[in-house]
Amino acid sequence: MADRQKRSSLVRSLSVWSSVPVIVVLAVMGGITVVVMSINIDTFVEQSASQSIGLMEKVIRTEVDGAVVNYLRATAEKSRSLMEMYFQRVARDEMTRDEAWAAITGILLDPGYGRIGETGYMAGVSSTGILVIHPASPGADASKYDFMQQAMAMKNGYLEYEWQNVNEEHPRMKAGYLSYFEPWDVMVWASSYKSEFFSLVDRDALSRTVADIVVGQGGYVLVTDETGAILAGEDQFLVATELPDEGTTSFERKSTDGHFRVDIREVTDLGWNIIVVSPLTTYDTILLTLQIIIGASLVLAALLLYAFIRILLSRRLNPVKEMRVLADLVTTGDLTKRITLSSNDEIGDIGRLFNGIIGEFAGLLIKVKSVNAVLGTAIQNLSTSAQEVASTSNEQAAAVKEVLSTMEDADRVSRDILLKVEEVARIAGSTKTNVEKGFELIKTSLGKMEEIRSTNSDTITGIKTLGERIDSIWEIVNIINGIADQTKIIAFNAELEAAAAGDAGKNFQIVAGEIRRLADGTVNSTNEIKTKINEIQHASDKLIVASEDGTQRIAEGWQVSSNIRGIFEEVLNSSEISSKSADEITRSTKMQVSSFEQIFTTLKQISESIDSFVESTSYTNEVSDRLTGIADSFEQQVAVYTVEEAAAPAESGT
Amino acid sequence: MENQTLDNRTILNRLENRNDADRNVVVDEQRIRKYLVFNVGERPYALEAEAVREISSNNEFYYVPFVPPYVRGYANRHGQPYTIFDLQMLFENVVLDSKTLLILSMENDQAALLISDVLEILKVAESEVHRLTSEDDSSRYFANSLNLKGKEVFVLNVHTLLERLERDLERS
Repeated sequence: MADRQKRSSLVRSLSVWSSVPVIVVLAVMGGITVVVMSINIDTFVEQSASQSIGLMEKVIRTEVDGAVVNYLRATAEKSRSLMEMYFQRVARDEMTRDEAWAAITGILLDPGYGRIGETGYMAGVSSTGILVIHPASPGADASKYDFMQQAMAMKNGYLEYEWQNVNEEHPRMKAGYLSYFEPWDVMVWASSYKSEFFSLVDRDALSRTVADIVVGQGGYVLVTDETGAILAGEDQFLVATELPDEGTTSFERKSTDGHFRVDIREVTDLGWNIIVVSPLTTYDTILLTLQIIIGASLVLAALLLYAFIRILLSRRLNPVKEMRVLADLVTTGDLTKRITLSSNDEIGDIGRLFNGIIGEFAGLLIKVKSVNAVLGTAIQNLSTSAQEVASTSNEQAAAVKEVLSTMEDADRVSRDILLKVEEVARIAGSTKTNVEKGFELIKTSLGKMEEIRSTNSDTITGIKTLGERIDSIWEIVNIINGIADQTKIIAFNAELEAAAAGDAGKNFQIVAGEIRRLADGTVNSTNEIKTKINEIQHASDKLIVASEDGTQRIAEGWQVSSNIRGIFEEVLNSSEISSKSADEITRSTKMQVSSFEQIFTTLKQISESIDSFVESTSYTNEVSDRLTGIADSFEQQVAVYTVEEAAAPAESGT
Repeated sequence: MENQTLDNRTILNRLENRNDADRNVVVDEQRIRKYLVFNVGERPYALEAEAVREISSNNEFYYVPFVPPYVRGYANRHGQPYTIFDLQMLFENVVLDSKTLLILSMENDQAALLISDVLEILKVAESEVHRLTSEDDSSRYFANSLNLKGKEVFVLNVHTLLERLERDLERS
């Protein structure tokens, strides 16, 4: 029942979560519609109020300007007519011009006649800008002012200008009307501040005009002065008494009378305020109605959407319901039922897969039953085999222990061999050292012989050099001999000359003869020198031959030593090889001992493994017994399920 | 010590102490003749000292064609050409390898003898000069003979040499 409730919750939650996005979107759209509508209404009301204010301002200005112009014109024209009347009396000689001027000046400056509003007055100005008639500054020249220059140009008509009296803080707008009387060159000037003419405005007429202006449904317009006193219109909602601070142009107000908007604008040059009251109750009603309609539509749409999605999901999830029933049957062991399917969608595919799984499960159970029977037989066989293996393992353990004992003996023998081989290696190393020393002695001997051979070679070279020196002496002796021969010939010639000279040459002949004998002696000496040189050369040659013979003997000795060195090298190589071989044998023997130790250790491990294997085999026997019990129990468990043995595999694929 | 170089004073002393024989030679000048003894190859010959102008060694020979083989050419001596006679070639028909010349002193001819070596100038009394009596062909080139240390030395007759040359030239 609880599962059923979960499935129902799934449909509900799917329905809700499917509906919520649509509802949210619709709600947002409805909210946007209401907001847009509200903004449009505010804009419409603001524009309507602005139009009403503009219209009202135009009406006020029209009323005020018309009254001011008409009043000033009437006053100026009337005074001009009075001035013309005095002019006529002067023309008829009823009075002098001065009398007439004094009379008209008195009339214009009389407060009872000439005062206009509160501060306005009458004046007379010449066409050159001289104030010929003026209550404060008669005779003053006002032609420098812009408005006066404008008046001098106009002479007749209405004008407005800014003017600030001495005792006032700000300039105010002033209005004046000119009427020119040419015979006396006087412009009759009627002027006053414009705000002082408000009393001339017809308030009834203004009120009527204000009442005619319609602002929405139930709205109205008010005109107030600077103090807030109502000048025109009827204040139905009494907003004029609760105006906010100066500077606020609009505000909204809600009261028992309703909801309305108030817009205020000041007519700056008049100091009046135009107030437009626009009712908003109607628009509030429209907006509320719209919100209700949108809200109701949203609720209705949500309900309809939820109902539609729920019905749709219930129909689409019907196969799932069948699957749930079938699963309940499977839990009770009935594997003969299947789901009836009609849809081709994903749920239909899942249903078909579910049918396939049940079919496969049924087939698997059938196979399990048959395998279980086979497994029982196999476990029996396993138990028998385990017993046999245990027996064999015991025999192997005994055999390995015998091998282990033999290996212990072999290990002892190997260690003895290692000691002997290390002794041999030590002796070989000592022999190698001795041979190396002998080899070094031979090399030293060879070096010494090389030095002797080099020295002998230097000796031979020295003797040869000596021979070359003797050859050069020989050449010198030959030169001396040649000189002696020349001298001898010269001496002969001298003797011949002396002989030819007769007695006179006798002494000279003696001298020449002595020179010749000296030359002969020189030749004899050089011949002796030559003989000695020959002997030296002969001895030198013999010495060279002897030295070269010695060199030959040295070379033979060096060769013998070289041969000995070669033999020693071979002996050294042999001793090195012997030493290296002894080292290698030592190393190999060590490795052999190490290997024996490893084999020994491994055999111990094998022995221990066989022992544990025997234990494992007995444990296997116990396990096979347990497996037999498990197989029986498993068979009983499988027998619970009812299976159509022929149909089960066939349906597995549907 | 004989070969030691002698200074002038020593020589003058010797002149002052010269022996009587020398003095006799000077006294009996008319009876003493001087001969120049020289070798041509291994044979010694002599010439009267007056017939020899000078001895010249290391001379350069200039070959002359169409002359007898014993004329080895001529040599330039002080700007004068001297005909060179090779006595070894003449007497033994063997060319003498030497460059030493005896320049002869003659009035009409300019000739030189090619010799191997000068031995000495020999003073001989006329009585020791032997006239040759042989009439054979070769002896006509020798005028006399001298005795030099027990050995006979022939004195050359230069004129017969020149006559032989003239004849040979005419013949050729």
